[in-house]
This record gives sequence, structure tokens and C-alpha cells, in this order.
Amino acid sequence: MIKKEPLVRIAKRNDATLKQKIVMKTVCIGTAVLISILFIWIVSGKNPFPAVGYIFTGTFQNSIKIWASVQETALLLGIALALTPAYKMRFWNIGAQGQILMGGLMTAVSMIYFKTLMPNALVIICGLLLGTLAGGFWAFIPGFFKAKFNTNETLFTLMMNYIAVLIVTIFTKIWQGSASSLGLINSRGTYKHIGWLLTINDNPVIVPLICVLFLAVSTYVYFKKTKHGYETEVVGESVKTAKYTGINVPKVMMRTVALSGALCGIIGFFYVAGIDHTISASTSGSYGFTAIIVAWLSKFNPFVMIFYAFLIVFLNQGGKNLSDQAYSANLNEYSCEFIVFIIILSILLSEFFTNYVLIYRDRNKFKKYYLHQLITFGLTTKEVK
Amino acid sequence: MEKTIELRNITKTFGPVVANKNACLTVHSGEIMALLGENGSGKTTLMNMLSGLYYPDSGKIFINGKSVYITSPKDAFDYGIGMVHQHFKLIDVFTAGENVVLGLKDHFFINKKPVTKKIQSLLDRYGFVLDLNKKIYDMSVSEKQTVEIIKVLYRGADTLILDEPTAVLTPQETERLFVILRNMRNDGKTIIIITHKMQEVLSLSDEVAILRKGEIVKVVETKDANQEELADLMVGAHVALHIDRDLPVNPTKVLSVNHLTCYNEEHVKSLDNVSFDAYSGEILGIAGVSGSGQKALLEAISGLQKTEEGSNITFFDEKGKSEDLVGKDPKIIKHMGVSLAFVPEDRLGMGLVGDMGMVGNMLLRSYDVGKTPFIEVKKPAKLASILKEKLEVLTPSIDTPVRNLSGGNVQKVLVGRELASQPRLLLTAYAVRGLDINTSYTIYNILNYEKKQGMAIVYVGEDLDVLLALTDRILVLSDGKVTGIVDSRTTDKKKIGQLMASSEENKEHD
Repeated sequence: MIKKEPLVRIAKRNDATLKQKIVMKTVCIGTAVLISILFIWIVSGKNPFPAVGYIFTGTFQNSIKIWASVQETALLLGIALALTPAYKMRFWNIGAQGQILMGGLMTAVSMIYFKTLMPNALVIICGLLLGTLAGGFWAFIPGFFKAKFNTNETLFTLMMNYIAVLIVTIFTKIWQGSASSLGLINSRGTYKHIGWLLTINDNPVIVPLICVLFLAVSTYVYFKKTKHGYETEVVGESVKTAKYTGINVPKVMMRTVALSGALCGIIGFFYVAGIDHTISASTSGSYGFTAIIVAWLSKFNPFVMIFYAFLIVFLNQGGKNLSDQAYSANLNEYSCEFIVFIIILSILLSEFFTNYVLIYRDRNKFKKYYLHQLITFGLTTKEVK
Repeated sequence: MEKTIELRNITKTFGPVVANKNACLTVHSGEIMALLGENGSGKTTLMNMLSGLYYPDSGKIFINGKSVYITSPKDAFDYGIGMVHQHFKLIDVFTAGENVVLGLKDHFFINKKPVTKKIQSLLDRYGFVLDLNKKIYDMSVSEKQTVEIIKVLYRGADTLILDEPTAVLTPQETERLFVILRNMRNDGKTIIIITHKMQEVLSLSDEVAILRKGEIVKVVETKDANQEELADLMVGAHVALHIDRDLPVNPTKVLSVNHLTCYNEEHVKSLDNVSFDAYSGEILGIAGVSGSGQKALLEAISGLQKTEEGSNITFFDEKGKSEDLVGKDPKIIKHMGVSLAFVPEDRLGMGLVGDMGMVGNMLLRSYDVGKTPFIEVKKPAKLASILKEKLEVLTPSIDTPVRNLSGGNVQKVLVGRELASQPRLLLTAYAVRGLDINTSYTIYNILNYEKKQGMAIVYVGEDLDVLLALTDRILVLSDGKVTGIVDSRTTDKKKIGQLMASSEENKEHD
């Protein structure tokens, strides 16, 4: 029955300095990069370093690719910002995809049905308004049920995604008729480019980009300076405190969730009116979910979000480029995505190592000491005797 | 069998917080050891390491001179050590007997008869009174505690650790528990009792170990100790254990509560036909076993709790104008101009926002002033700096999240903010719970000062000695009913204890 001291124990630490945090993150991400290179080497059987080059040229090869990355960053950042109000309130909205699709769908509706009724500018404004309302409404439904009946928002918003996907599929099937896909809306004829968002120098990205950057600043101001933002934060921190202060919790909850959905709806409008000029069930791809990672990694700071959104887009584009270049038949798009997620995972792990420290049994033994040093990279503040 | 437990140089840290530092303690069988220390002095942490919930960062535990490693509560039971925690870990829908045998692995099927017989013999041996077929949800707190103790004894523990066992008991129940504990000691068991109440230490224990800031500063024999000496050892400096109390000056009625009845979330009556008045320049104490309706009472007055038909809560302002508070939420009450402040029991969960700094927390009271959609930060920031200075709040800056402050400083922030609105009526729930002696006395002094300025104060407390010394009148709640309103200057602990335990039949008003 004699027990030994446990081999490894985990203890919390809050004393990591900024320097230690930076070193820790570099070590973690560096390790992930090494694993990725190793992975490329094993899978392809070729020199891995040109492959690393392809990851870089995925974004930085020419201005077309740079703009493509900027576009993706703007959209991903926009969705992450749209999620922020709900997440600050600890309302785990995972229904961004559905809210974007509903916003996009209403934009498409206005492009298709209103083009004969009103001038171009009004079609665009209608698309924006209807898209915003639709996105807001799509989020308001789970928000309402959470506020009134305390239903679980994650399941609810997820289900709303499926419904939105189906609604969009139904409409695209109707609109495409016998064609194989919907194709560009208003691409030729009398109504050419009606409802298309304004481009600058033929560049469709600039307007959405400016709007999203403006949204980043607004989000920051909203939570720093406004009464609504303050109320949202108090509700997120503690519903009891909110009630104690006299905040109308259901009202704040529905308002904030609808705001989050409305912002998603606007992103849907950008997708359809600004960039794709068409709609399908996969319009926003998996960005509705990737944006959750962006929002969390940056701890809901709008400006840090810019960095993480770009990092993820850079990795994605790099991975895509790598498989496009057909450097090796084995490096298909899935193995490239695998690399992307290894790196994201390493960023999350680095959070763990900056917040916790590992303590080993037999700290006096050289071997363990060495292992300890290797794993925590000499960062521990614990005395190693 | 003689048994010695020895803790040698135990150190445990949680991040930057040192919970225990080189703590050494030796306990022998057949004695009652009291661990005395203020909240946060590391008593519970130290015992959690002995009972296997935590593992020490350094230092060792010896039993009968042999070094042992305790990594789980099961290990602790293997060494005969069991702990009764402050928060009970029982299954509500099971009976007492079922809870006792729960989790034991020796048999797949439980043969009820011999088990019941064994438990009953344990009960009889030490003088417990318990119905084994009663469900936990039907039990009083003291009965639940008995189940917890039996659970530990049934698992064969000969060393019993009790964490603040008297916090939830009436004085009479406490006395009964102490008789049982003495029986157990005489039977050769080892008892370690964690407490911060000095009188209990003196009446029960054989030895006292005093903890301060995670260290065991001294171990003394109880017969050689006295209250002042123990208090000084706990605090580390001399403390004057005295509260000034003046007679109320020109009391005028501020609050009148009549026939107040409330139901809690489980649709059980939390308050039953409560009636009383509160006056300016007076501290009205509310006594009662925890969970007797204190929380519901304060929340009903401040508009957080739905009241039943027939309830009446009236507030009187300086000019004697009355306002009906029933059915109004806190915001409406505030906008009606009723100057009422509330220091709730759950400071970080209800009174404050843990992740915000002092400024953000001052804003809770005033964020909605002005017509613009933007918040006005200047005044709250100024208030925060004033409070930091005046109440000596220890914080790196007024923007440091209050979650990172110590319990005493958190309470200063909360009390300071509530008093800053200069209310006519102040409601406080367990205003000194978890605070060290010095901060507690700071709070008493603040309350006394405001009383002299003419504030009406409702003080819900748990320490009867403090209630008797601080308040002018004491209202006793039992099971949601008022069982008496007595004059603090003429009553005593025994009388209040009886009221706390009594129900309808001996209801009386002074």
C-alpha cells in the first residue's frame, strides 16, 4: 500500500513575465513549424524547404494573391468582430454561418426581385437593410429563447445553421432552374451589375475592408465607452450582478445577440453583393467557425483579432498554394490543412504553458532535471534542486 | 492503538499565493487539536493536503514516524484519515444510510441489515441521534453534518478533520456536537477541528495550533491559553476586541415591512409573514441559522425577489413621505429617489464585477447617468481614488480587476461604493464574512459612524457575539418566520439560540 509521489504534477502560475510569455509562444510555434516540416518531408519524401517557400508565396507572390489574402482576412475578421458582442456576454453563438447565409440570401433576394422596381443604389441599400435584419432575426430567435426560457444557445444556434443552409439551397435550386448552378446574379443584359457593391479601381475588396476596419474600431469603442457595451459586459460577467444593478437582463441579452447576428448579416451582404455576386450553401465556407478561434485567441480584443485573422488566412492560403503547386502528389489540400491546424493548436498549447508549470518527482535526478528543462525550456521559476 | 500524525515543513503555493509555508504540526491520538487562524491563513489548505485533496509542493507527512504519500482521499482513508468539509457532499434524494455506504466498493450488492446494524452501533457509541431512513432533502443542516461524520467513521477513520463545523449550527446544536466530539476523543480517536472562533477553541480543544499567513506560529495547550493571547497570535499584533455602541439618537421610522411572504425557486416559502420596522440611527441585527430567509429578506426589500400578495414594504424619506417598494425592480426603486443601498452576501458574484477594476465597479451604480449613449468615467474614477485612499484599499491601481484583491479589500470596495451614495437605509449581509479581525473592526467602525450620522442599518450576521455587541435590536429568523425581536442590550446568547431554533409556538415580540 506504499504510495509514491506522483510523477508529474501541474501547478498554476500567474507570474510569467512578458519575456517568458513571448519565448514560450515562440518555442511552441517553432516546435509546430518543425513538426510541420517533418511532416512534409515524410509525406512527400522530398526536400521540405521549397514547400515552406510555397506557403509564403501563397500570400506574397503577387498583388493578386496579396489582395486575395486581404479579402479573406477582412471577411474572417468581420465575422470574428460580429461574434464579439455575443461572446463578451458569454452567449456562445456558433450560428455565424447561418446568420451570414440568411443575410446573404436576403441580399440576393433584393438583387433578383427588386432590380426591376428601383434604381441600383436602392437595390444595394435594400440588400444591406434586409440582410442586416435577416441576420439579426436569425440570431434573435435563439437569443429570445435563451432570455425567456434559458435554453442552451450552442445547440440552438447550431440547429439554426442547418435550417439556413437548407433554406438557401431551396432558393438557389429555384433560381437556377435547369442550370447546373446559380451563377453570377445580374451579370449581363439590362440589369448588368445591379445590386453589386461599389468597387474602387475595379477592386471589390476595398469597401468591405474599410467597413470591417471601421467595425473593429467601433467594437473597441462600444465596449470601452458606451452604456450598452458596459451592460453587456456586466451580464456576461454575472447575471446576478446585472440584476442587482437593475439591468434588464433579458432585454440586454436579446439586444446583444441580435446585434451580433445583424453584423453577421452584414458580412453576408458583403459576400453576396460585394465579392461573390452569387450565393450557395457554402458561401462563407467554414469561416463561421474559424472566426470563433480568431475571437478566442485574441481574447476579444478587436485589434489583436486583425493579427490572428491574418495569420490563419496566411496559413490557409499557403496550404492551398502548396497543394495547387503539386509539389508532391501526397501533399493534397487535406494534408495542408493538417499543417494549419497543428500550428493553431500549438498557439493554444502555448497558452497552457504560460499559465501552468509542471513539477516532477525526483527533482534532484539529473535525467528528470534535463527533461524538465527541455519541456519547460528553463522557464520555470521553481527552484530545481 | 497509539497513532501520531506529523506534518513536516509543508509548503503549498497557488501561483503567487503562498497558502502554507513550512508548516509543522504533530497530532496524537486521543486528543482534540484546534487549528485556529483567520480566513485565508491556510488552515483548510493544510488539512486538504492531509486528506488527499491537494498535494504539497514540498515537505512530508509522517504517520507513526513513517513517511507516507497521500495523493487522493482514498489514500487518506487507507491511513484512517477522513475529513468533513464545510460544504457537504451528499446526495439529496438518497437516505442517510444510503449516503453513508455510497461509493464503497467491497460488495456489489448491499445487504442492508448488517450495514444498518453497523451504522446504528456507531451512532449509539458516540451519542448521535439520526434516522437512517430519512432523505437528505428532509434534513436540517445539523443532521446533514451528522451524516457526513458517520460517513467518515463508517469508512474506518480514526482521525477526523472537521472544517468549520459550527458555522451552520445554533449554539445548542454546537454544544451537542461538542459532547459527541469529546466522547470520540475519549474513545481514542483523533479530532482536528478547523475554526476561527476563539470561544469554541477554549471550550473544546486540548491543544491549539495557531496559523498566520500559512505558517504555524505557535502550538499551545488550551488550558494555558486565553482569548486575548490567541487573538494577538492570530493577527500578529495586539488587537482591541471592543466595539463602541451608542444609543440611537432621534430614531425615526425608515422602513416598515408587513406580512412579507416570499417563495424561493423550489416554490418553498423562504419568508413567512415577516413584519418589522427599521429606524434611523439604529443598527437592526438579523440573526438565524444560515438559510433561514436572511437572503430573501434583503433581496425582497431591494427589489430582487418577488413577493406574494399581501406583502407590504414601505420606505419613509426624511420628510416622512412614504413609498411602496413592493413589485418594483432595483432600477425603478433607484429612480423613485429611494436612497437604499445593499451590500450582498455574494460580493464578487452579485455586488461587484470581478474582471473590472475599481472604476468599472463604481460605474455599476452610476453608469446610466446622462442622456448620451456613452458612459461618464470621470466621477467614478475620482470616487475610486477617494475610496482607495480613505479605506486603505490595497490594490496596485484603481483599474486592477477586483477579483485579484484580497477578500477584505473586495469588501471595502463594495461597502465604500454603497455608502458613497449616502443612503438612508443600508442593508448588509454577512458584512465581515471571510475578513481578518482588523478589517472586520474597520467595517464595524464604519457602520457605527454611519449610524451616528442617522443611517438606518440592517445587519445580517452570523457571529452572535458580534451581533450582541454591535446592534441595537436583533430580529431572529427561523425557517422564514420571525421568532422574536429582542433588545441587544438586555438579551443573551442563550435566549437568541432558543429563538433561532424555535418555531411558531413560542413566537413573541418585544
